Amino acid sequence: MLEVKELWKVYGPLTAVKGVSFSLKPGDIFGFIGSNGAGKTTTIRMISTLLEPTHGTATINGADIIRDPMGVRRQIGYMPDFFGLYDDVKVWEYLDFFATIYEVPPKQRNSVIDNVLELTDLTVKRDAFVQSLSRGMQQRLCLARCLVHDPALLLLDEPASGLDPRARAELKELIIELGRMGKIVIVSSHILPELADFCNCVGIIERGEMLAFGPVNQILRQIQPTRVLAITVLDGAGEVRTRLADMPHVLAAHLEDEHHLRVEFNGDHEQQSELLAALIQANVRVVQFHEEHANLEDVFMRLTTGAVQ
Amino acid sequence: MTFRELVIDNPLQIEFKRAFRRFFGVSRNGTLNAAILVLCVMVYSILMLVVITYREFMSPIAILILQLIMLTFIVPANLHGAIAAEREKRTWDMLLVAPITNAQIVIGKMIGGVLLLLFVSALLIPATVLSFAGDNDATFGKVLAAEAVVLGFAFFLAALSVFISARTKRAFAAQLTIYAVLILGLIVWPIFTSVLVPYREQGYLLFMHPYYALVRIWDPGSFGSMVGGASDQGLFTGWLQLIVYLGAAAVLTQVTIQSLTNSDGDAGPRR
Ligand SMILES: Nc1ncnc2c1ncn2[C@@H]1O[C@H](COP(=O)(O)OP(=O)(O)OP(=O)(O)O)[C@@H](O)[C@H]1O
Ligand SMILES: [Mg+2]
Repeated sequence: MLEVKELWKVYGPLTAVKGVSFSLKPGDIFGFIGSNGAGKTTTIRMISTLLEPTHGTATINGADIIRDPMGVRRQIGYMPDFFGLYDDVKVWEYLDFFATIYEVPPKQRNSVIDNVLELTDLTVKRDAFVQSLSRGMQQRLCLARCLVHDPALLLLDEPASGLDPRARAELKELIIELGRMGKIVIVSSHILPELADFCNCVGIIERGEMLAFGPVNQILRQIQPTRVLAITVLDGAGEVRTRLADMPHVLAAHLEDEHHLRVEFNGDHEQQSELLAALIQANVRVVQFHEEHANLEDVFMRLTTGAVQ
Repeated sequence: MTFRELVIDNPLQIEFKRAFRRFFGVSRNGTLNAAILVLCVMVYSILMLVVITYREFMSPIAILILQLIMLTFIVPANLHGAIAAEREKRTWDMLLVAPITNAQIVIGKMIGGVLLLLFVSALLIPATVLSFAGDNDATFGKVLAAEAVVLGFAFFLAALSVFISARTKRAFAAQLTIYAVLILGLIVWPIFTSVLVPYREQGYLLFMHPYYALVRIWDPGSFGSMVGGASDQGLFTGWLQLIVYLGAAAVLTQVTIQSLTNSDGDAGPRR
């Protein structure tokens, strides 16, 4: 259980984070969205005990980031947005070093290292030197390092940057798997569509303020309370429009061009199917009939102004 | 914090392995480093040959000054990057979020430097012993007192290097700063004091100057005879210097431990 309470960070004249609060439970995958300079990295660094908050605090399973930073560190895995790896060590030695620091008992270290290498698909590179890995492999090694002590909370700051599409898809799978293992995962990213499919929870931050927080669907509904149906007909769209306007649950019908209509609709799925049946009974020649989903990108664009401070 | 946690079980011992590898050819700069190593072995062999051949004309003080000069360069060269290079390579934050104490980090970083300075000093013991043959005034007690100054200063320099490294974002900047401090302390300060106070009282202000202290220990009469007795007799025992150096090193290390900052130079909630 992660509880973030009113976190503030002030840098002189600039307030980077203004009272961010949220809480997450085991298994939650939280997508942290915001434009450049919105305050994502600052928030993540405060939770990871790297940066002292000006006000506010956060607790992870009862351990407070200010009063018990060691207790917090034992439970978190942090992957920075930019990071380097030590030269002149082999992959397994790198992991062994961190396993030692994270107090993994010596007898279990080898099996733990094998497990995390397996999980991140790096088994074949076990004895390679760290500096010989490609960027994507280094990214995965960094993630493997975060996992050696089986943390309850993972803080991944833009883990997908620099990865090719395949590696990105694999990373996504891995994050979903981590959520299934009961960890709390916080992922910050700019690539919104990517986050939407695997996060069960998103937060949108701008200029240090959390504008929206909650499950993706709930946020979408907040932004767009009525549903929009897109209808394409073979001919006579103008006539169809007048007919639609009188039908139940239709709030408004707009003519896009001679084939396309957009309907604001506040009924449920059953009423939606009745609407389609009514159109067909009236001999309207329907080519397409579907609901237009708002996506995260729309929500993001609508909520934020793109202003930076 | 026990000795065991700080030294014997300190995970940062991986640094030795890295330093060793850097010199024995597995990394990119392997060849260059191996060449430097060969050069060092050659210089050392020549030094030993010279000392053996001309031991009748040698004095332990010459070897002790050589040791001091070497350590003045080797210690900062080895330790300037201890923390600054981690910041520069962006590995530092990942160490700070781990459940390892500041003391473990700082002491772990210093162990390697201390071992190296002890190793270099040990290499020079045979030459020091051999050169007794050429100096009738050399006594075992004087050599020990001088060695106390040299090692004490080297420990202090190790602590100073890590202290400066902890306050810098780039290894190169740390190295420049350390050498700038050394130039100020070892060259500018003596010039300044020679203008400021009478020659016979300079010893008070140069108490911590290792080169000055070495000469005074080796030849207590030298300064006094010139100006009719320096007023600071008894200050340059060597052991007094050692105690002050070690005390200063301990204070610097403690300050470093308590003021560690993250990669941006901001303090986190560390105790
Ligand atoms: N050490 C610092 N000193 C002063 N200001 C800082 C510092 N670190 C961050 N800031 C400021 O705080 C604000 C938030 O920065 P932060 O790095 O958290 O943004 P972000 O959401 O991670 O952006 P990005 O998507 O570009 O990574 C920015 O305006 C930044 O300039
Ligand atoms: Mg960022």
